Amino acid sequence: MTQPLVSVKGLTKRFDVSRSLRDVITGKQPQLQAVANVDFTLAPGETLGIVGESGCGKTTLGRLLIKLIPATEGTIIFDRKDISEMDRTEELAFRRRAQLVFQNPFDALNPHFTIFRSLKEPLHNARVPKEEHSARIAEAMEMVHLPAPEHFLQSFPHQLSGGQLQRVVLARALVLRPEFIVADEPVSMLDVSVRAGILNVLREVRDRMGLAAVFISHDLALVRYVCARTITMYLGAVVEDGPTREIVENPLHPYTKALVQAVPIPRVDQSHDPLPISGGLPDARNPPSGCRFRDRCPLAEARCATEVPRLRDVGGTRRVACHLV
Amino acid sequence: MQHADTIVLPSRSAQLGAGIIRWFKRATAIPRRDPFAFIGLLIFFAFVLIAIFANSLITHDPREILFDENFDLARNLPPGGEHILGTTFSGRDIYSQLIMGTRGALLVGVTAALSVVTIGTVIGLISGYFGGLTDTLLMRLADIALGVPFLPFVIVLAAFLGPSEWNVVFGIALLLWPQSARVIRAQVMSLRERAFVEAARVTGAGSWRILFVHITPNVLSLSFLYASIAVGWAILTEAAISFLGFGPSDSVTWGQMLQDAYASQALGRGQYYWFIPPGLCIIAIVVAGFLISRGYEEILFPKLKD
Amino acid sequence: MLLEVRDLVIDYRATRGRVRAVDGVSFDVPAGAVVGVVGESGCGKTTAVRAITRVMPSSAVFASGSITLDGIDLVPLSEREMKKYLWRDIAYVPQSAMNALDPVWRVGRQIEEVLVDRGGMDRKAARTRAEELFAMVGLESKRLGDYPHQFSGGMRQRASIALGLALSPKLVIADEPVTALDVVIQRQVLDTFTELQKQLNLSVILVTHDISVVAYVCDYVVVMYAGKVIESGPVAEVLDNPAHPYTMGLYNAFPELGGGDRELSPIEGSPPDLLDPPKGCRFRARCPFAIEACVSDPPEHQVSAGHLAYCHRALEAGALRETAIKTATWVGVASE
Repeated sequence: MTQPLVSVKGLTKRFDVSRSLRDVITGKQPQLQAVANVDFTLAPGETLGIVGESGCGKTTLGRLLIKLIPATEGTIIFDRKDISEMDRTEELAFRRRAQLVFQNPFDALNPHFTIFRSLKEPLHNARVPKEEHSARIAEAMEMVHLPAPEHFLQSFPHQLSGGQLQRVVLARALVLRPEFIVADEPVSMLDVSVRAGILNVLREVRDRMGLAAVFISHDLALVRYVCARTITMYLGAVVEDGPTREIVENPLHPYTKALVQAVPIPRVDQSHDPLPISGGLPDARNPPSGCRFRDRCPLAEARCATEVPRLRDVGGTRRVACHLV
Repeated sequence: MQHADTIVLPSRSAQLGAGIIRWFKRATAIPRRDPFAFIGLLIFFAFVLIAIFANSLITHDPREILFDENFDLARNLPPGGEHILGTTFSGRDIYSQLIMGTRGALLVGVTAALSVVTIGTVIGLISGYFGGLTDTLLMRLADIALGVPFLPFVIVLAAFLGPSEWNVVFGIALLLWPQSARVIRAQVMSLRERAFVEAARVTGAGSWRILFVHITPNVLSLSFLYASIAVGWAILTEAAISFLGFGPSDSVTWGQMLQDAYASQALGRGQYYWFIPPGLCIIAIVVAGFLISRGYEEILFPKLKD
Repeated sequence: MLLEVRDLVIDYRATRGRVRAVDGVSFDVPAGAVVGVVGESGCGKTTAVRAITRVMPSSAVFASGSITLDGIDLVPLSEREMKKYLWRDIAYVPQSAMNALDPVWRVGRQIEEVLVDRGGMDRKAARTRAEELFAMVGLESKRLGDYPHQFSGGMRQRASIALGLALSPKLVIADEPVTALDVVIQRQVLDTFTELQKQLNLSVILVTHDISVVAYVCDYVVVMYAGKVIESGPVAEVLDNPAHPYTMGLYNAFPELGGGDRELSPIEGSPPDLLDPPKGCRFRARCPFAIEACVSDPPEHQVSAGHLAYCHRALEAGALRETAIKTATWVGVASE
């Protein structure tokens, strides 16, 4: 097996949350465990989807992977180096190889910079020689299928449409020829007819550049289109991990099953069966003991309240965190 | 679709030129839309022109004591003849004083505005971005500056440094920066969380670069707002200081004219042509500053969409 | 027919000039039916639908058209007369529940206010009814005493539906009611909503940009583009046999969970600027099937019973559909 590019072990992130008066008096600091003990690996050139609903920790996970926030516990190894132990030089090198694509194209670009200036910024920071700037920018623009005439490059973000902006954001991420990209809900703020274009560009770029990518989304259908492998998250924990097609056609974890069934399709003859899941998300500050999903799970047993299920191999390359599968 | 080697980017000077034109268009966009801001800018530029061409506009040397044909002191002459606005009690031409006073006013106003806004912006940027201990210290400093009463401080400065218009500039720069600093700090704190700032971090920009290259352009309009208010405020203060007698005695300012008129009991003599013109000029500049700031307020606090 | 909208024209007074956001929109809402109004952002669907409730921003100008509810034209009614219809005959459920719920009042109290003020009930009867409504939308009655911020997103949405249904309206207008919700909650809320709709025989206008939601919930669909209706009809008909290139394109642009490896094709370009809309068919610049004739307004074409499309080539819809399925058809149509 090839050496993984990114290797995540026992990754945990806890945030301090606001304290009540009683907490202040008793000296407690309540915390929210946004990411709980996450393990997975990413091979070079592999696309991994991370699917879950809001509050499941996927965005936090994305920011941890790109070293925007520090982890509380656990390790993230990028190319055999622990990213929390990088010095300034190593970190700069990391920033050349790992990039982030943002969710909101309207906010991801500095409104006072021209497109050209925004695309030049990463090159400047990475100390790429000036002579190469134009060529690299042109290359990145071509990869996202954006025209590169002078007037476009001299435009400002407010003059562009959402679809064009997101392509620019993608181009900016590609201008340093990274090996690893984290895309956090890259199309959720775009109109439906525009999304397909960005998704196609993502697929193409991934293939042409051999990028390893993590694609974060709450929309399973999008993830299926772009990612070969998927992990589903619930309340900070990974509950299922495997090839996307298998997960969608034969979900094993009860949460994944509910997720797959919940996605509506543009066909009138779709199932209206009730979902095998009850209630709403519990308070993330006080998750249920044992398996976090147990109070909504149709299969829950006594064991589920006392023992936290671990991610186990269940054949092929699939892993599930459930006692009953 | 263009290929890598055929991308044609404009030359640096062309880019610079285009950049300047664009900046100009954006800076003047507001006055073109808001008639009040436009009037404010007109007034301001009128004064600037007067100050620049003062030497050609004056009819006499403003400090020269003048005599008439009979070698009598040409004092208290009403407007007319060669004295457009008449003469003072000491025989000086009021109109020329007024014109020359524009220079003093603008010098004080603009220097004070620039200093206080620079200090306020820089402190606001650093405080807002880095937070923590730096922020606490700087904001406590701001509290101290706010606690000091303004006019008495300037008077005390005059006592130590001798009467001069620079006392006003120092006073304003040292005491009035907290206003703008606080607002800019708040703006920076919200900008800090924006996606494009995170993007700058992810692409390897260091903190100082992010602060001065990425965030600063987004707060400059706020700085400009405070600058336009500060100009009026500075001129008003200079007038107050001069009126109280702590101003410079060797240069001509509007405040000094007012002080002179008061001391010579111009009111009692009904010499409205002496003190009303400088008073009006002061009011005009302060109002101009206010109108400009009111126009630009729109871009900073845009009306929420319905 | 419960509601008939005919030739609705609504302008916005923007700083740049007058923007015709809705340009001659007509559709029907049969009693007891769920009609989906679908389109991209900026197509005018929200404006058109809110015009029915008369709750519009001050920059909106009602230019012409008629809105007939149960035989009565709502357009010439004054604000006061219109008020009688709101809540009682027509209810509006906005996109964000926080636009319906006042954050400083307890939720139960807000529902009771409507029942007392608009419904003329006494406090006791209002209390009972509020509990009834909560039960209908699947919320525990003890939550009536909570504030909106104590509710989760899905619960808030249910509460704002309860608020809308308070006075048993005939027509419920729901503007993107589930867009902001996660997929599991979305499904649950939609299920509750459809159950209620059947139970109470409500007529519903559901505005959304998501065709899948329309397929899941609606009986009829009205597809809007750039201020005009370009296709309308029974949902099954329109989705299986789209007759307008835009509808065909929309289908191809949607990633479908069970859709195998079908490659998606985006509709290149963007909708026209409504400040100065193009002459003739507004989809022309992005349409792979545009012909000379498209510079003139497309005629209405009846594809089948109740299924209308506005396209010069509607007669060839069958053949066009075949071509539309191929990705290559949509590439290079519009240059950005």
